[in-house]
Amino acid sequence: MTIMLLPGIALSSVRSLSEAADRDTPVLLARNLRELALAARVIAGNVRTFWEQSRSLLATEGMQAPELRKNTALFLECLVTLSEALTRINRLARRMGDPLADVCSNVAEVEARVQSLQAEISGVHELVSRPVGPDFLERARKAAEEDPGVYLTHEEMLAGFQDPDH
Amino acid sequence: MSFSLEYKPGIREYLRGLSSLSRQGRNRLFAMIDFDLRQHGDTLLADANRCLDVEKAIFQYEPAFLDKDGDGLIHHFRIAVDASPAAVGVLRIIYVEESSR
Repeated sequence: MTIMLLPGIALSSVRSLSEAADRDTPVLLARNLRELALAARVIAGNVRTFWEQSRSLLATEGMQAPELRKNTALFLECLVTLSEALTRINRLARRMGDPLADVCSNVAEVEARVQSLQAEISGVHELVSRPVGPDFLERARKAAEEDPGVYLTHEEMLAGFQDPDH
Repeated sequence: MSFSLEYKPGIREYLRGLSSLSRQGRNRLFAMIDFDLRQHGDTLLADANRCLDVEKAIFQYEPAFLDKDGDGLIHHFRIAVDASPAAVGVLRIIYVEESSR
């Protein structure tokens, strides 16, 4: 989970750089910005890897929706922080003009990756965050009241899954 | 505490009829229901946030998984569980909805 803290660290680093921008030499500031942009790229890559691991877990074990909701919310929070750090790096780099054009293009590329990951995770978050509709509750209540009829046991249900002719 | 699970008629047909789910996906769903409801249903019943209707003892259980062998999407099931016979060790699965992305 340490990786989820890294965007926050990057953001506080760029804040320190913003404050130091007026007194530091342009060369020092440029070097720091360049390093920070590279660090942001690595962080974005690691967050993507971490998300892929969560998807693997979803494929092999599955998760209950409340757990998945918390998981995706944490990812989204982390990506928002990273986006904010990237925006600030970009703003500072633009202020310095041409010498930092490579930083601007690096940041733009990382921003695009972050946005794509955000869109993917937002979709999953929305899927598992839909509120219980009144229809669902009404139908569930009705089903609970209905004549119980013939219920299948879990073993019969399993047999039905395993045997397509069952 | 483990429970006996019962499925309301029609639920098996509904789950088997989900063409987007692969065989492995159905097995994954079954395994999750078995673990979370049959073996650890008491955890679900102890969570007040999952209770939809206190009077009728209806709870919701929401398994989610990625069906890699099927459509490659994440499937989210909202399952209504009637816990009124829980005292005699039975949980009844009475209604299911599925959505995917």
